[in-house]
Amino acid sequence: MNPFPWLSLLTWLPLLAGLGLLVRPIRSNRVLAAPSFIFSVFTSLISLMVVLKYAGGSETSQWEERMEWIPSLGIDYALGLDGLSVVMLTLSALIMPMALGACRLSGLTHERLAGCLLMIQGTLAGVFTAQNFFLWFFFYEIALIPAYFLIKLWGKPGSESVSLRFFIYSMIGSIALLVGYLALASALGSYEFKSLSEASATQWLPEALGKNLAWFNLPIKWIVAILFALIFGGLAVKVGMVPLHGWLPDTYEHAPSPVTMVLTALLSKMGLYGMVRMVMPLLPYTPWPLIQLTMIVTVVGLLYAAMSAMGQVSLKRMLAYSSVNHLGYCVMALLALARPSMGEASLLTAKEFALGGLAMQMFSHGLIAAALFYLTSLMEHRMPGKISVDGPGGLRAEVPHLAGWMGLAVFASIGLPGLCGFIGEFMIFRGVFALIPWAACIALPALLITAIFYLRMLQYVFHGQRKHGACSLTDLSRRECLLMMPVMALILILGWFPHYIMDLLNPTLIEAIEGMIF
Amino acid sequence: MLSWTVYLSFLASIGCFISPASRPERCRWIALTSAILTTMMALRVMLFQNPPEDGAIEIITHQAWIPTLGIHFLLGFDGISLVMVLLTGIASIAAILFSWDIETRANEFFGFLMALIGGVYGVFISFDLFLLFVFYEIAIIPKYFLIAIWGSTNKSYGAMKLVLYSFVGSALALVGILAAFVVSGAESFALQELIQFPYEEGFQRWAFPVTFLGFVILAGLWPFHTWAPTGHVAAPTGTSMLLAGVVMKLGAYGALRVPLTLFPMGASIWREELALLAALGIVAGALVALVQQDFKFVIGYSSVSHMGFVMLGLLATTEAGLSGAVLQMFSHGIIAGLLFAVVGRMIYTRTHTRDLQALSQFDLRRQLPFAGTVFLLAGLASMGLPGFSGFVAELHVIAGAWQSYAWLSLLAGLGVVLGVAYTMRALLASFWPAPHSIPAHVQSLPPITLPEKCGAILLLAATLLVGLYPRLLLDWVIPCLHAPMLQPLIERVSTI
Amino acid sequence: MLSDATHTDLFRLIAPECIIVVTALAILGLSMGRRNDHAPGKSPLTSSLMAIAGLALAIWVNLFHQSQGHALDWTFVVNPATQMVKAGLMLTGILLVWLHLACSQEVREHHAEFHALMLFALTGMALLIGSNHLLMIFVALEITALSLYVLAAFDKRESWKARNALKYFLIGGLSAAFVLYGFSLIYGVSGSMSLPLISQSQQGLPIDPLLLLGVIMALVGFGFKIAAAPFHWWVADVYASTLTPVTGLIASASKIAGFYVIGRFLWHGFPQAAGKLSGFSWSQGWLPWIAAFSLLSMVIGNLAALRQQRIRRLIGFSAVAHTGYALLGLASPGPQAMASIAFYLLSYGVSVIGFLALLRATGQQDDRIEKGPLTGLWSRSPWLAACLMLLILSLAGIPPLVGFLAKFNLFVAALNTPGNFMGWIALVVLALGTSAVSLYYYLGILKEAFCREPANEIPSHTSEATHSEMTLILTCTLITLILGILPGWLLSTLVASFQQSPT
Repeated sequence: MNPFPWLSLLTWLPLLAGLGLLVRPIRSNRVLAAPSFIFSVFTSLISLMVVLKYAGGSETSQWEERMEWIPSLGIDYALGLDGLSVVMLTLSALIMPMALGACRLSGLTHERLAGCLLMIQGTLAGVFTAQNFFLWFFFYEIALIPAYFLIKLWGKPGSESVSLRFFIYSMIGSIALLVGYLALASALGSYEFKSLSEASATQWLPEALGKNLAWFNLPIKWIVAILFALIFGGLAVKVGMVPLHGWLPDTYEHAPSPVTMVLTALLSKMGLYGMVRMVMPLLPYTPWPLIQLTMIVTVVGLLYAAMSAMGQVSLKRMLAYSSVNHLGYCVMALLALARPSMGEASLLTAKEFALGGLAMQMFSHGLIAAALFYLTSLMEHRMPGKISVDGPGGLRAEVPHLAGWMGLAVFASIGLPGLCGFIGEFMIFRGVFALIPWAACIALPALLITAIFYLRMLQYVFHGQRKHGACSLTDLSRRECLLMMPVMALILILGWFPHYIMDLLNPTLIEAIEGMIF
Repeated sequence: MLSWTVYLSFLASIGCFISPASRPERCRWIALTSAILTTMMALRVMLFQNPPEDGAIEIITHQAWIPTLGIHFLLGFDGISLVMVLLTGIASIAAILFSWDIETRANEFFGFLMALIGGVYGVFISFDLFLLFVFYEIAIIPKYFLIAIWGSTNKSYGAMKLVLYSFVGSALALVGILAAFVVSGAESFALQELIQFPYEEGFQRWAFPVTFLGFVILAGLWPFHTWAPTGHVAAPTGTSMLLAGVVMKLGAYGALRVPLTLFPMGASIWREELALLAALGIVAGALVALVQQDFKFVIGYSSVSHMGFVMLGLLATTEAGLSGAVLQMFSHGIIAGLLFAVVGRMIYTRTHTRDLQALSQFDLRRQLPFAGTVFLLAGLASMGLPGFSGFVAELHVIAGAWQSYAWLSLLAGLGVVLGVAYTMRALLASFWPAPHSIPAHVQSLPPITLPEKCGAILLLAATLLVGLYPRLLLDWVIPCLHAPMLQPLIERVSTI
Repeated sequence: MLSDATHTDLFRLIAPECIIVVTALAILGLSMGRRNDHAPGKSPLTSSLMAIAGLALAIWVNLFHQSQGHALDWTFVVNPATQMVKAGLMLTGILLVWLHLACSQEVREHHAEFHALMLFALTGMALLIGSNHLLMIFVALEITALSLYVLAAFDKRESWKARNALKYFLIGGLSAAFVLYGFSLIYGVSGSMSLPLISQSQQGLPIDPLLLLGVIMALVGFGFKIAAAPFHWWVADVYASTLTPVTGLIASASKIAGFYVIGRFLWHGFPQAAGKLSGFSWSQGWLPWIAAFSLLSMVIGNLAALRQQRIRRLIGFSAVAHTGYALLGLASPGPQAMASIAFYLLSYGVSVIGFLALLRATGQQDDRIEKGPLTGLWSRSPWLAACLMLLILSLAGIPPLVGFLAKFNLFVAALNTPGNFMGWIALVVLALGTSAVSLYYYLGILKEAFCREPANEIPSHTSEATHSEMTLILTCTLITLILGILPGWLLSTLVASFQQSPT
């Protein structure tokens, strides 16, 4: 007998519930946000239960569900968990209820908005547990639709064109990815992520490519390069990597803040997660010059993002660019893994650091960005209109709690030791320094710049004199505090005890590193 | 049992013709009943019968018809036929529902419509090439009248162009069939007998392209597609749904059954060039759709683009490509029907305009929320979003194409991107125009009627069902690809 | 059978023809006895019924009570094939007489003479079918032609019609001259008038250029008769100006006889005439000429019909095109091919008679009226409109109507021609292409009838169909439909009869 399909439940329950909320006719103006919140919390609790059970187990892959789906392409309906999935699942379980709560608190009570968010929660569970590309892509694409409507229908004025840009960018990325991976899959004869990493580990990959994709007698190197470009490029759009980030600042600014929270904390992680699953196995075979080129673009891009963040006036735009910058570190870490280790123990260790850092950074950026945008949404609710970073000033006196929590989140984002942001960044730089030193050197100033613009923001917004007349704002309510407690607590705890997460990740990551030949 | 799809449709056609013009409701119900019954027949076979392991053709009727030429009345079906029959059934129910309000000469309208449907059913279950061709031509003529009498924009021109293109195409196809028959010296036109003959390479070299082009003109292969947009735009809604949904599939189906099956060597000689045309069609159709002002033209050109996928899949001649082509035929049949239904029926009959600019004046999303939702879902399906049938189909096609001609699947990918763009453009312009362009006082529109709702829900359910559970069709299609009939085609490719 | 036949034998060979002639004479005699018969407006019922009865009797005798064989140096031949074709001919004859009866207000006087002339023309055609002897062929040709000349000029109400009739007469005379000259050359070279003997005398010899010239001359002459391009100039005018039954006679019966005699003349007289033309080697020296006539007829007929505004002229040019298709069948010697031509011409004849009757019934009687009376036919008379659609689609060659199957048969026959497969394929492609062109004008007629709203006031020249017209039209329509769906019996019978008739 099959065990109960918990992962399917995690995926389909919110997805269908969200759909139900969308199609339910709304007859009166009274809208209920409660059901969606309850659904979300319920799903999150199940996720956490699954995560705890996973942590209790000893295998790296657990909870596998498998069913034949499209036999003609050898595609199964397969969900499963490994270390990375678990961590990402935890993240979405933490953040989705918070986002829904934030909507309610900032006055966005439309039932269909909640429905869209619930759908996203479901697709996220699907994305992070799918075992093959097809299923993964299925959820990855579906997530786009509620996201699009969230921005379009509930965004700030002008969000029509912004949401369209978001959609078109994402679709182009998706299709490049789809085309690229289909080629790979048709060469391998399988859509399973596992068979890709196995093919990479056993060096069967180049042979398969050479046999099945001999286009114009191109050398295999070139074929890999094309596939790498398509897949990496497609995913980089989702991550918002410079120079493919054209959609990102505007979208983050125009979307309602709770939605931005989901976009940056979770949706962009889908791209990174995809990179770990799909790009990493390709790295050993990708031509080194291409890696270097991509690396240059990445590090210059993240530096550029940091500097752009410094130049922003709008708080949300600044946070958006800062996100681009932070996720840039992750991509940098991923690319650094391409350095051949030639069996050198030190390089292997460095790789473990880089990959661990990447995962850690994904998690902690999720927490921090969520916290930042959560607080921003609360601020926006209190003082409608754009919040500029050289803005009102003197808020600390009026809303001390809000200022304090904001400070905590900002420091975590800067990477202050003792908070979780530090761990990820430290590990990444530790790894990349050993693997590709010049990249780390170029990226380093970004850390400093981040500190500058965040601190400047804190100073101008919360300290000093109030600029335009005093209006009394209310401080955080108990409910508002309560809602962000889990995230804030984790930011603090993980700063000191990162092993709670690392223990979950390590077996999977080590397996992945060992899987990379040379 | 399945042969009754043909008989019943023709009987319904006659029934409609002879019922008095003053009683339109009688014709509607005759047509609808027959369409539902025929669909049930297809469903019954699909759901309650196990697909044969070897993909063999199940013969329903086999009788000598014209003995002097060895022509048989040979009806049968295999998985591919069954899928197409089911599509025809669903599309025809929807088309009838969306033609529910036709009052002028309703008896003739439904008579022609059912004749068209009967011809289409006939093509899908004929395994004697002469018979197949007869039904193929029977399907051509009603189209002319349906468009020229009940059509709209430029209807005479559109109808004539469509019919002449179809006829020229069928003439070429006939040449191929005749040549195959004469050269093989066979005693029969049955497909099973004709494939026994090893046609020599020199013969296949010219017979394949002639026959293939003949069939795919009706499938809208670029650059022979120009009949499709004008014809679709001119046709009344129910007819455009059938035209784009089913009749274009006749061409693709014929191409699979006749030239690709009979002349595998010719196929391997020409497939690269033809596949290029198919891929160019995907991109060109999408590009043209991107700049149209007439809403229906957008959909018309999108059909050309989507049919490009079908032909790319056919010409990939791999298992994935072929099954993708069949799936895409089904999927596009449903989705195009849906799009035409929204544009031609739900919107046009209420607003009397199809100009995207003018439509923004109507605040359609609030006035016709049902139409908005349906078009949104249909648009997403048309873009090839996962969960809808289009995605599974296009995935198969691109996967198949990667194995045969890599760079063409890049073009196909580009086509998908453009598909997103033009669908979004049309969607935004019609249902989500910029708020300032909506005038304060909007002319109020009549609500969506019950038949319209039923039709739309039927089609949406079909595309979602196949999108989520493609095995429903694939279990029938895959064995056919392993059947000995298509083996020469697939094997030739895998050895290259 | 021996060549020195007794008179009884001779009579038995030509019994059907005799019956027709006697009927014609009886009709004439009866009308002479009744003075009122010539008065305008008198119903032709009596003479029509007599003519129909005579033809029916002839068919019956022809099919079931006739001995087969030949006499007088192959002057008279009876075999299953001639029996079948003659039966078809007489059947169209019946339909034509019926057509005359149906549209009797058109021919207002001299019904008896009209019927007698029609029967004489049919006699000529029947003799033409049943002869393998050049002299007899010529005589029969002239019997037919003279009757037709008179019939063409029968409508004397307007001078331009008489002018067209004169044109027909002059061109007919010219063609007779061609035939006669050709025959004399053939006789001069081969020393024989009988086709089997000519063929025997030429066996194994290289083709004589003079003989080929003779054949070509005769072909040109026949070409006029069957309205093949480039000898088609009279067609549109004559079709436009003659009375409806006469148009029908020229379009159906005379073509059946003409094609049959050409087939016999070529394949029985000169099967061995090997020759070369422009690098292609043809087994028969005259084959390229047939191909060329066919090609020209298809192209010119269809393209010219495309431009016609007047419907009778359109039928004329489309008749040229149909001749072109039928000529394809002459490419191949076998019984299949001959049967396919016979089947084609029969089906064409029935469709075209039905169509002419329909035009007549809607008030369309002469050239000067355009498509007007057909406009909006669907609302005035849905049944007539339905018949119109089926008849026209049959002419256009759309399945499941007989026109399609008939064409299909011809194409199979053409492709089965030994040697030069690609050339015939090209010709078939052209035939199909031109039928696509023809679809344009055929659909134009249907568009007029179905897609236009009827004019508010019905034009004066339209009229309601009488019962008799209606029945005739329905009969023709049903024949095209039934033969299209169930052609098996007739085709098999035709093929079998040609198989049993080596000569």
